[in-house]
Amino acid sequence: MIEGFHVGRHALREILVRAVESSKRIHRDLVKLLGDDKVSNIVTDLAVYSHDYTPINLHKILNLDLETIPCVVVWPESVQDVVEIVKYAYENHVPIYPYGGGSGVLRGFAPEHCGIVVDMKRMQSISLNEYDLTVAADAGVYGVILEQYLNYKGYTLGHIPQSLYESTVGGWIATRATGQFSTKYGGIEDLLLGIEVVVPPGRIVKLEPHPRTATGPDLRRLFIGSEGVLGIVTKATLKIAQFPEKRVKLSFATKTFEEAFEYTRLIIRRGVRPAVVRIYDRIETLRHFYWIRDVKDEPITIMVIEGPSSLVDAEADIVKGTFKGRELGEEPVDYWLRTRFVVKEASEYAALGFVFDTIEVAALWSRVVPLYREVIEAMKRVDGTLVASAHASHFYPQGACLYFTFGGLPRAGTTPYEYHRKVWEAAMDAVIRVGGTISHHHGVGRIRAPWLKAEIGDAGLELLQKLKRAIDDRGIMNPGNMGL
Amino acid sequence: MAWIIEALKERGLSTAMRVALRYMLGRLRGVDDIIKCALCPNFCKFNCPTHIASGSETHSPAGRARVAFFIESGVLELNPENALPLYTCLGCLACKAYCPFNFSVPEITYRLRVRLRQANALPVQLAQIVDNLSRHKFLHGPRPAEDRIAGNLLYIRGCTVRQHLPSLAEITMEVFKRFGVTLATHADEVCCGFHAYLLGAEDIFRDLAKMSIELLKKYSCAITSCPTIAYTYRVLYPRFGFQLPIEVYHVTELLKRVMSEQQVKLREVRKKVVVHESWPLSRGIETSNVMLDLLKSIPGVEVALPIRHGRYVYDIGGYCSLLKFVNQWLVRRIAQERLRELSTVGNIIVTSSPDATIVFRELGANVYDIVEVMAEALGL
Repeated sequence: MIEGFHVGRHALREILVRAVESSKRIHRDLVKLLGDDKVSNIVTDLAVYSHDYTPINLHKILNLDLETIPCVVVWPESVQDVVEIVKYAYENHVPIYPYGGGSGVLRGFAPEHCGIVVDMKRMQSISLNEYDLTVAADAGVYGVILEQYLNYKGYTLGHIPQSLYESTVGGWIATRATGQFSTKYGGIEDLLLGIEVVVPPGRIVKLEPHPRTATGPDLRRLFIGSEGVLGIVTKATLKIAQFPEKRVKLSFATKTFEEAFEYTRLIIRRGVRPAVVRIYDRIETLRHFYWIRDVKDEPITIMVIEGPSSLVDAEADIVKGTFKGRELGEEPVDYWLRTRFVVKEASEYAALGFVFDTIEVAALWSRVVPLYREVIEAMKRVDGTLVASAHASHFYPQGACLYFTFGGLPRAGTTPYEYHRKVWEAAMDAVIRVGGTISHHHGVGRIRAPWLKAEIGDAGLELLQKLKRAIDDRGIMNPGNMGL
Repeated sequence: MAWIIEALKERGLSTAMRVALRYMLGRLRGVDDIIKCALCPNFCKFNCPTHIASGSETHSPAGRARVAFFIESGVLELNPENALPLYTCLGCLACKAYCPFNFSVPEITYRLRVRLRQANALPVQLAQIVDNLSRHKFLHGPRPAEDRIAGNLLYIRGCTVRQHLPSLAEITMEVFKRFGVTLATHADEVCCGFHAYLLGAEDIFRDLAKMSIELLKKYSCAITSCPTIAYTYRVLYPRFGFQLPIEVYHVTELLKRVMSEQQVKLREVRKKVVVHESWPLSRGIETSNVMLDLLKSIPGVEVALPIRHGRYVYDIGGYCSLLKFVNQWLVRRIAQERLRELSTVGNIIVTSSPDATIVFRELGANVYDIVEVMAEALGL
């Protein structure tokens, strides 16, 4: 027996038993519709599908505090299966919770009202069009499998989030994802050309891929970042690029974080597009590059420039001529490339009682540095915080994304959940105060929902609510997510 | 740690002490491997054959660890239904290939599987396997009646070859005869124990290991057609305290050696083949290049590799796992997924796994064992 984590054992067992009991009719109906091998209400499945990868959920797992248990899990194998599921849910007023890779970090997936979890991962077809430079992929295709396939054929999607190994094409669209190489290739919104979505009461919206179209408001955009509250993405057609001919890796140390930002701003505004730019503050430099001597107090910047050889050389010349920091060579970049998908700390530290999370936000250049300072200070002020740090991870001619990490040990009498909420409140309030956006690429989910109105305003939120009601009049699609 | 120390400097001595104490105590107590895996983002799951084929999180590495954690912590009862995800695991180490902790699900859940067996909580479909292994020492029931064949090198065919693919054993013996090596077979050959390991039947595993080692002592060297046997003998036996008295090779390893020593002239074999490696060779004992080298040494053979190969091979589950006995549907789906991948590269599959040969042939694929290709090159 594993000892010490039995806070909610009996309660959780009770919830699971109730979920299985209350799922019998839905299970029977869905088996009739889809067949036995696509539907489950087995207790192990319900327990496993109770959460996504939101870091605070690790404490919920450890403390057996998982109160969001679905009734049924289904694995559609075709768009027609998805139509049947949505039709059934609509007719019977049963909530639906779409599930991709489960890598969301904002409780965008949390089956609060029992309901049906629709796991898309049996929809895995990939179709490459080399002439048009596009790839059509089902929603359930893992990012890494798509990228490996494209690389094998001589292409890249250029969409490399840290969650590449566990996130899916459908999930990327639903959360408006972006990847580590986005400064060159763009986010998912820049890559998406065509989309297929199933919306209540079970209609297929199919928008064919075009290089551009001027046919009214772009409905593709409606579903990018919709986080499962409007419909279920079943297929997407994405832009691809030729696999880069050459890659140049550069890294620099600067006296200050601000200095690194300024050099980067000057480089990007000249039209240079490194695929990767990452600027680490002092603490994160120590965390990731502890093995480099003599950079203890100097933030490190790493860059990857890739593409056709002559273009790469030209861009590298501009970067070297503009970035006045001390050159550190390729090794820091190689180290980052080797370790960027290694995530160990989460498992180790949560089990020791430490609470941690990441918060990614963005702002225009004029606000980036104040935003950094405000958010770091706000997080540090919360009792229990031990570490607050950041790196900048995505760049645009107009601004940048800041990716904060905080870690803490809640004081006696404070639950991990209370501590976690307080840090989020402090950070989000600071972002709103400075005038940044509360999310750059993780999305809204249930954690950021309270601050959505502050960012998009009363009228904006009202419009979003009207859209939600117009498309999902019975409120079956991921109810509660984004506060909708 | 430098970054944490640096960050803590600002927080004052009492905080630093509190954190250090919590950290040290936690480290001393240690975090259970099942918990570490259950809390992990599951970056390995895209490589897990059962997960990809089923689409189910419960069949993913961290999913299985979560089920194990829920059983261990008393949320889920210790019963066959709840334990099922632990037995659908192929034991193929695909998770380990991407694990930052170097864990594999079969390794970290082994103690739980032992407990499940002790509690009579094995899935009912596996009762026959336990009976076969404990009574007959053979996976498929009573051992086939066979005469012992004398030779200077022991040939361990494996349960699956003996039961389902005896022709492969004959071809293997013919091939080695061409190199002047007479293979001996023995009626006392027993199951290697890999299934017993997956079942958590440590008593049976130890019995089978002892019997296998007794047989090995009668010879100076041994080879096997079955990659799983090579892995079990060379990796699992030492882990359980059994030292091999002699070297045990997979047929491909010895073939490569005798070919390099004897410079045999091979006929041209006009085949464009795609290679399906097996996990015990590519990840277990890390010798998958041997089969590639062999194929490349045959004139006329064009070799292509699928996307997932080498250490990252997507292997399938046949008789060399428990999946075949608990979920045939999933076995088929895994194999279909692999065939889909292989077919994008070539239509003739070559493998060093008899288990894969059987499963692929059941699905109508054009598949050869490496020994069959070698036999053709030798004009047999």
